[in-house]
Amino acid sequence: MSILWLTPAALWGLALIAGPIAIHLLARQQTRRVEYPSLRFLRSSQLAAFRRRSIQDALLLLCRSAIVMAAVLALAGPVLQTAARTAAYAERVARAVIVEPGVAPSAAGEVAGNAFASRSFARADLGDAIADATRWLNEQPPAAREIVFAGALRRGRISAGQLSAIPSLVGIRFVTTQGLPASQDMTLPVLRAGSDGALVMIPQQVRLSAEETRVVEGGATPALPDQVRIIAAPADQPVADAALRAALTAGLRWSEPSSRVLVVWSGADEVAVRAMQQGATAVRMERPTPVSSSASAVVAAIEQMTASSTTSLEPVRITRDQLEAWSRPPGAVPADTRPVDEGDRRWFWGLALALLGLEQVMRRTRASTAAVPATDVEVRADGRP
Amino acid sequence: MSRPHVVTSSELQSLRDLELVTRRTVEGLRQGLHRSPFHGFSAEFSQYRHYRPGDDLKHVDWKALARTDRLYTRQFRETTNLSALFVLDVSRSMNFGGKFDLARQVTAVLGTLVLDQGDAAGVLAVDDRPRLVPPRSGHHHLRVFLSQLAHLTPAGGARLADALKQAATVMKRRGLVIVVSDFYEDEDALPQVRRLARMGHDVVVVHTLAREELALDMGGAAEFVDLETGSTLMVQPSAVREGYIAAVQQWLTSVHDTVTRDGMEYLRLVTGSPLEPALRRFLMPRRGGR
Repeated sequence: MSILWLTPAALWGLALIAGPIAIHLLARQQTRRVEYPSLRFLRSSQLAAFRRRSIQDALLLLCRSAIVMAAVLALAGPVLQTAARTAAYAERVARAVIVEPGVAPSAAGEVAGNAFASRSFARADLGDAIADATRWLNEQPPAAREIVFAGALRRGRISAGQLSAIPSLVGIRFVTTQGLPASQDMTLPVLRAGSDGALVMIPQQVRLSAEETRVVEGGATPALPDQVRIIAAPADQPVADAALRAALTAGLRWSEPSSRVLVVWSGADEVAVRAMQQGATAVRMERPTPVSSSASAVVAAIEQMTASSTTSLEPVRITRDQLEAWSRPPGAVPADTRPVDEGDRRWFWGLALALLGLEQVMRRTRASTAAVPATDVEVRADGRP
Repeated sequence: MSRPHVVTSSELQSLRDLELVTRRTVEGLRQGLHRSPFHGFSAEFSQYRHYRPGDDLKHVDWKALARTDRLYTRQFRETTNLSALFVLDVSRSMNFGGKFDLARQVTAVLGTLVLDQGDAAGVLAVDDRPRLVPPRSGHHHLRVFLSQLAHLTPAGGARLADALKQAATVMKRRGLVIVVSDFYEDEDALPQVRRLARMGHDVVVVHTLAREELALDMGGAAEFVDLETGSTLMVQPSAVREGYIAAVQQWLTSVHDTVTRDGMEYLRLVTGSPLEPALRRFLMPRRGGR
């Protein structure tokens, strides 16, 4: 059995035990030495009374110190860690439910079930939601811990990298609470070179469904001057320009119409790069080999920087096998969990009160043994006894 | 015996205090003691003369009357005055509750009385070495006597019995020996006191005690330190007081009986009690001699 403390700082109060000890020592010091003409009439059994008194003093000191100690321990909020209590901790579960935006609160409540403690987290960014849930679980009393992901569980919504941020003793579970939309509509800007060679920005209306992907292009608008440029070593510059032209002819997905990009091949003159950058985002890449793949390499580099992923938007669930692979049961109760008040301080308060009563009894006993009435002596000054 | 001695201001002040207290007490005692309370022993036959009415009949020589059928009165010539030696206990046990001050005061009072009546008084104390003012008479000697008393301190390691042995050598002729002590060393000291009495000295035992040591009038539990031996004992006074008082009373009775049984006189003085009435009650029966 061990003891955890709700307010460990209160244990500094144990220094108060020095109070009764100091008083006891001072009292002893004050009454210690008396120079006396002769000890011939102060012998034998009379010493036992003092010893008895000394023992009483020591017991009284012990009792008073124990009173202070019990009171301080009670204030520190003790939590007794018995085997039964530890087993009970392992039985209960603190559950954080991470719900996808749009999931009904009632659905989150159903997922929480009969958890010892539960809370739902709904954040647009899943990483933020996991961080919040982990932080909340760390603050919970001793219990098994679990994070439940509730929602449509669409493919792309959850990644293994995000789940790796969850502590190993925290269980992971997935619950599907809503259906997938039949289709997903979005607008994707595309930068493309027109037939006259001028760059234009074309908004593409994309509809994703389980069966098909439909794209409808909108009206073109002129692109910004120098919205995308490429620089390479002087010997490679013609190839680089040709690659960019080829990429623009096919069209580049562009997330932000106002952003500008400077593609920099390895070997480019850095002075020229700095002169050309002027607020544009530099996308550095190796000189493509073979040269014939230069256009696709340029497209990949630019789209990695500018285009948003469409995989997370596909209306398809994560496979059951994948979810099972990510799932795990709650682990043991973490050793560093913050204890919760189990009402154990009442035992210490009771002990303090009992000791207080005992101290009263001891004080009365001590006073009664010390109260021997003094007998005056009449000695006649003329010397005649 | 004189030795160079520089009197410090504190010693001078204590001497003045002693003189003042002594003089006041002596003056008070004189009002009730018209005749000398102490008497010399040494009187030497001088001559006969014819009896004249009014002569003390105890001085009539009855044998001469039987032989000559005439009344003759014997006349004596005093060859020496009373010689009194005060043996003062200066052991550490006297340094308690004003006991030594009381002993010094009673010595000064009685010594002054002796010297004032023209007799000789001296004082003997033994601490690390003997401190003796031999018995002498005269007004000048009173100052020497009191000065020696003022210089004494109760810090001696020697025993009272040693001082009494030395007193037996100092007092060559019969005289008055006054022993002032708390008699905690009674087992060794009292035989020496009796020896002085058997030598023909008039012995007076002045038993000085502090009121606190009679009643064990102390506070709470304490470690008691023996002033003589330095040994210690843990004592709860309230718990042992009853037995202590009974033991002390038994001891006092024992000392008194031992002293008086051998014909010596016993005077017990306790600190806090007025000295003058106690001395008056003691000295009054001594008027008229023994």
